[in-house]
Amino acid sequence: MEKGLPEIELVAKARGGDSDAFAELVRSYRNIVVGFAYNMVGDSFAAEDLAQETFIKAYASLATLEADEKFGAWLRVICRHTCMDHLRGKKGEVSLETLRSGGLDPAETGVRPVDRKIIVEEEEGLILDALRELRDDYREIIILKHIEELSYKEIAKITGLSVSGVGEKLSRVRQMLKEVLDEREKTGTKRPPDEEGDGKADD
Amino acid sequence: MSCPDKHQMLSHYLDGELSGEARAELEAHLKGCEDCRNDLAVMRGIERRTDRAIKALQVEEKGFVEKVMRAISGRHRSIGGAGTNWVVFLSILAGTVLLVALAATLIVRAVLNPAPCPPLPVVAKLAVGSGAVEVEYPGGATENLEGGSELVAGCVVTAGPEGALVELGGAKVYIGPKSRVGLPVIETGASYLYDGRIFVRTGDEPGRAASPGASIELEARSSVYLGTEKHAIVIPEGRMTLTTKEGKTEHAAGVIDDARAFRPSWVPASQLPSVWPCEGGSHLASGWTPLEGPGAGAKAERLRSDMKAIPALALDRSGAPVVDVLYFAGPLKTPGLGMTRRPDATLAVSYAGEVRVVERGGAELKRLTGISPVGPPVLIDDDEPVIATGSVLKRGDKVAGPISTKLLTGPAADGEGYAYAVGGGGYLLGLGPEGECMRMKIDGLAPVRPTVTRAGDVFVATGWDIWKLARGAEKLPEQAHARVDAMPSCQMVADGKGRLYCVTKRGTLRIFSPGGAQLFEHDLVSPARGLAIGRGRTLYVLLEDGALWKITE
Repeated sequence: MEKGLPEIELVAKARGGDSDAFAELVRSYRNIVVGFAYNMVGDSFAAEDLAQETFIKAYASLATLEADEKFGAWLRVICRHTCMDHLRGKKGEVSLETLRSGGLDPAETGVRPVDRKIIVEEEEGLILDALRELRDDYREIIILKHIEELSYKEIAKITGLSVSGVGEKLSRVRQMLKEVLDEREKTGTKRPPDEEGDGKADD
Repeated sequence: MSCPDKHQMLSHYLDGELSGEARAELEAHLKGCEDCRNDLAVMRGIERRTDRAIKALQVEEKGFVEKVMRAISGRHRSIGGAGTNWVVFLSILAGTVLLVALAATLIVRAVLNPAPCPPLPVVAKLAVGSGAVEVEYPGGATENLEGGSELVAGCVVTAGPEGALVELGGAKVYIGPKSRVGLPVIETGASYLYDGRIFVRTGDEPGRAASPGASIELEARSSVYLGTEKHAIVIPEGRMTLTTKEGKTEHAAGVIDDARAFRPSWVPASQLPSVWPCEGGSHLASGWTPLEGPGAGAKAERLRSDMKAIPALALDRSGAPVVDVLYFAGPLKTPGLGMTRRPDATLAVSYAGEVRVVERGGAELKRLTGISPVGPPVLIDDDEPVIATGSVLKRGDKVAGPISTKLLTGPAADGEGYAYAVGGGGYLLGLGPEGECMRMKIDGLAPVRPTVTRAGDVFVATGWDIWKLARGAEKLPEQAHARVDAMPSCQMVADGKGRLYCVTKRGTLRIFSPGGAQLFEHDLVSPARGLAIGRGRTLYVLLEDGALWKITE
């Protein structure tokens, strides 16, 4: 098994044709790539499919990866192109507005309502809705932070930002998120009372 | 701790990214500060909720990895179902498959790396990028490029988080964050093909839409600003023609001489998924320091980016820019047209249908109603502002004009009570202290408020020339005072030493000596809405995109 090897070695082995090593990379990057894709398409089902496609493309073009230590950043670029191709292919179906509001309503997104793995609760919907109002570079940072609990340094490595830049952006995105949530809660989008007690902001 | 610092500190604390010392300091502070404790609690609450929502996107490990690996092996190995009776056959088959796979790999490699095609002509250069600018070449190959890279015909540039600037022939194309622009395949002239709808408004014409896929042709000296918040294209000058995909001319705009009256906006097509509002286009210029030539070593610093609602730029008594018009003028019910200020800090603010003269602190000294000023009035003394309204200049019962067209700008005055404004058709209209009327017809006169020095010199612009008129002059001098790259985008300013400051419609700041020689230039990307000189020759520039810049030499 390839578990426990440093990422750089896994990448080198995968490039040499070791599919177990690649499987290990898929395992550790799966949520991050789903997060990237979700950030671009705003639909959790499509994001999963696109993440799989990203890994398949990545495997096919591992030979073009110039620096093994930039595997994460390289995956991000492939994912971005995959998502853009997907969105381009859906020309005429997906409007900017649909993208901004879509992804949650099965009627809008055309996703399979029966086998949805993620049941988006009202609370989660509210947060995801609020996230959608952010600029996508901000949204990407917060998704990376939460989906795999990455450190500033790890986020910086993937996004190409500086470590302090990541910190600054996270601080701003939290402020923005608070504003969006305050606004949404004020305009009547109800959410269930928070059993954990969130302090003053949730009054 | 100041508020922004505090927020960032709390955010870092929440993420466990504070160093031991900073962490201890913050914790000590938290013990004694209820405000900060509350803020932290609020932040934690949002954090928990965000965490739950985003974690819901996580995918189940086993199924996901298996699916990917199955697809990979399916594409690369073509594995069939295995049965005990087929061992020998499968061994042979496996050998064959391996050979086929090898051959296929070679073919795939050959397709992926075809023989080099004849190079496409280089049509543009990426002037500045954020490092994340993506370029898609004709044929689909993609690459991330840095500033200075050459771009070939037919490629598509997708701007990174800070946008990108592309130099295309004589034109500059600013691509807003997350926007895409296709570079022309045609080498002659500069034409752009967008897949979005293009809305065009010229003068008083209502907005009209060009059909999807229309292209825009620009003359070499045109500038394009592909905006961000409203996806606007601003074309400060030049001729613009919209042509449909089929080659039919849909709209020919003629020569555009006023950027503000010609502001097409681009609504991005659905395939542009990530066009989000940003803080303002001019942030691209942040950190630009000219290395050589006029302006080398000057420092440009963006102070704010949220001043879209501020109608004009004025400085307060301390020489700092006024960033909140409400502080001076009280709540505004209608959009203001602008304001002017005198050294004693009295402001004249004009609105549609009325003019208010407001003292520093908000006390209203005078209100004139029932008039329609075309721009901010100017105060010569505290009693009577000079107002440009309709075709006349008025100051109390003294009137200059009318001219045969409407005035286009508010007035500007010198130290002796002479005021001037610009009207349509190239009229410069003046009003003297005793009610004298001065009219001068100047071909191609730019519709921006004249610049008047206290000594009585009047600066106006035509096309690419700036002219200096002495008080009482009846015609233009033989030679222009200075030459610029485009018309001024707003009123120029002159400092006490006779130096003239101008931001052109191409977004370049130029400073001229009293004799007209250029001393300085700096590219601000966006045209300006206001210019003011503060203490120590600090120049403040309010840009069309709402950014406020401070420039020190």
